[in-house]
Amino acid sequence: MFDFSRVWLVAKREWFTRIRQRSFQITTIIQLIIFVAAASIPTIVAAFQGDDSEDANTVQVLDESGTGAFDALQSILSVHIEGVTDVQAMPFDGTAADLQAAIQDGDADAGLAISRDDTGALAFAYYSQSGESDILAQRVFSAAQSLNMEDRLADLGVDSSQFQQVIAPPAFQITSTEPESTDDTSDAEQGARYAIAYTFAILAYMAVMLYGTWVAQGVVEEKSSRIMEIMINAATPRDLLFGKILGIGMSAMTQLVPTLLIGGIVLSLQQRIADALDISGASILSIDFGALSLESGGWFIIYFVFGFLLYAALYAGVGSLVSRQEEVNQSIAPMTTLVMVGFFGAIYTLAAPDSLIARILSIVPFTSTTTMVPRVLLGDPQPWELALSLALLVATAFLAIMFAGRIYRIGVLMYGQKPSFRAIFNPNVARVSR
Amino acid sequence: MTLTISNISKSFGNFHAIRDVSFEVTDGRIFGFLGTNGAGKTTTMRMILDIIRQDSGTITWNGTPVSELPRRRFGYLPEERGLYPKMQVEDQLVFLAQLSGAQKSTVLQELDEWLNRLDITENRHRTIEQLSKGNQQKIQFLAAILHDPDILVLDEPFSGLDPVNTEQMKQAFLAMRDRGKTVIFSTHQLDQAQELCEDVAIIHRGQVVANGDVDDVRRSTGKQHVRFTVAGDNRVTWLDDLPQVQVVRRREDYIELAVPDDEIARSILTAAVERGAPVERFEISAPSLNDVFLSVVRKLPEHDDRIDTPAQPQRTPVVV
Repeated sequence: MFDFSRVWLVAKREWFTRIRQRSFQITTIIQLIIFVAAASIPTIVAAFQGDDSEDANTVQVLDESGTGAFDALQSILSVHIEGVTDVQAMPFDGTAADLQAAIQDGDADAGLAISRDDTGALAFAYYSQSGESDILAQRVFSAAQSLNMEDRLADLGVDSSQFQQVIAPPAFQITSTEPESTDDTSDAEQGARYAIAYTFAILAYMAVMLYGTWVAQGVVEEKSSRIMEIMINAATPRDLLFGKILGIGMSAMTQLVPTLLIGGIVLSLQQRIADALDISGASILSIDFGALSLESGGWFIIYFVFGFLLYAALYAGVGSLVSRQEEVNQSIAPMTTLVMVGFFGAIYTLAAPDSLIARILSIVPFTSTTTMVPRVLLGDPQPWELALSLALLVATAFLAIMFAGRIYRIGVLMYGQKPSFRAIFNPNVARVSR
Repeated sequence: MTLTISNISKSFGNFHAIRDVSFEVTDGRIFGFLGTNGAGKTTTMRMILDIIRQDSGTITWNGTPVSELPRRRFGYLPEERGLYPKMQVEDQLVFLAQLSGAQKSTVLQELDEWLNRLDITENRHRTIEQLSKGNQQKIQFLAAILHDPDILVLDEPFSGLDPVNTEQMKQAFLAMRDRGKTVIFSTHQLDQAQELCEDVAIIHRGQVVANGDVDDVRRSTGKQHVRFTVAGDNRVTWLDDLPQVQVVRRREDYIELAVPDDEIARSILTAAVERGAPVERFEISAPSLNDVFLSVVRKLPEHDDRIDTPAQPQRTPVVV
């Protein structure tokens, strides 16, 4: 079927030529920098936010209640809540109008005036520049509510310690009915799985688009430089095509593997970097690659490789139908649409991994490339679904290479003419095998 | 061993590129495939290489269809240069020879010899795009021969070569012939073919119009040509008055005349002596391939469809 020594010869040439190009080396380095930067940005942002959080939100309090409401309020607001900026209450001297003016000038984030109305109940007036009910306003409101409750109960003869007993939180335990969710790490692991599935979808999508275009351009380049005429005399179009795809695949790996490896290491180290630099923040992106088991890693590689072979063969096929570089973009437009469908299918699968649509998409060869791995990571594909999907993908990739070999053969040598469907299927038009 | 092309035809859509073409190429001889641009030379050569297939007819090498021969038996130099522009000469040639099934060590050894022979050793590690057009053509030639093929198919190998490179290329052809290779090359420069070929086929509008040994083809018009120069007179107007003498062309260096036989030719010399003209050159020879070609083409009817009717003589050096 294939003469692998020739395939390897062609692949090796393709690979050496590409990795020696300056443009290849520069894009590889830029890609690496972008990846490492993207992994580190949340930590960097958190580092800057961390500086901000030391200046806690300030609330200036004008206490006209006459019952020491300020002290009670301060003790409630000073409670530290994880992930939420601290609140500092400060006493204010002056009138309510002065307080309003001070807030307008930006002396503090918010102002609170406490007084008593005609019935003797506490009354609160809250001032902020935005006037919106933000987190600070909500915290002040709940503190005011608690203060108000204690004040009214005191009128009814309930003292402070009794009050604390009344408002003590009840025993309230949350238990999920899903068995695995009882695991403490499940949330973090599910998050990591989601992130890996998402990364795979984007990676597969970009790799197919970028390196597929390389394949199409490479075919046209050889066609326009007429090197094909002697190549095709020496080897079969199938060997040449497979070698070319393999060589570009190897170049792609040369570019992607270091990026993924170094980027992955940087990503998994984010939490430690943050700890070491004493940075805290909810947004730090740290993925524990422990979630990527050997099995899912295997599916990742299998679908990536065969998906690439399938799409690369199609790109080579459409590439051999045109004769000039300027026509490449136009000719690969239908391919781009197909790849986009696969990508959006993957995004949908991330949200609903075991829905009917996701199940269909993960079995159909052209979309299974991007959708099956998210399902393996996030959903529960049946063994027969995996087997069918993989068998279809491998068979389609194989057929695509065979078919593209034919188009390649005919397209490459028919300068100026569009190969007709009859010519593609007519075995006698040109030597295809051997 | 013989390459036999018999009764092949090929159409592209409505265009009949090749019609019932037949000729033979004997091994160890240099075969010239001649014709104007668009006559069907490249199409025929591609069919010999089984790059495209004929609609009908057969092409065999010692009785075996060429489509069943191993690829490494053929060496091909395409009409337009086909090399990777950014690849170094040595890498490129080793890659192509290996792809054709040759061993790297053998190729490197041969390469040393050939680079030396073609005087391009200093270009060994340059990329193709850094080379002159003539040197690129030499590399293209090496790409056709380094895997040691038996049949060399060279499409317009002399195009773009200066006289020095042309001479080196001719020597290379002779060297291949001496190694027992069959060399088929196409050209529209017929004087080159006349100098180099033992056998020729002239193709015009997809049909073979003359074929055979070069000397036989040249004699096939049944006329002799005389090259004639008179000192101090490059018009020699009295030649027009001689019976059975036809002026083919008046050049600055000589006048070419067509005569039915040697006797008439000698009558020109007699006439010159009678007139006391100082003859500097008088040379009787068969007409050049160029003149044969022109006379053959002029005799052909204009329209393609009418060419189909007369049966084509094969292998015999006869002009239709």
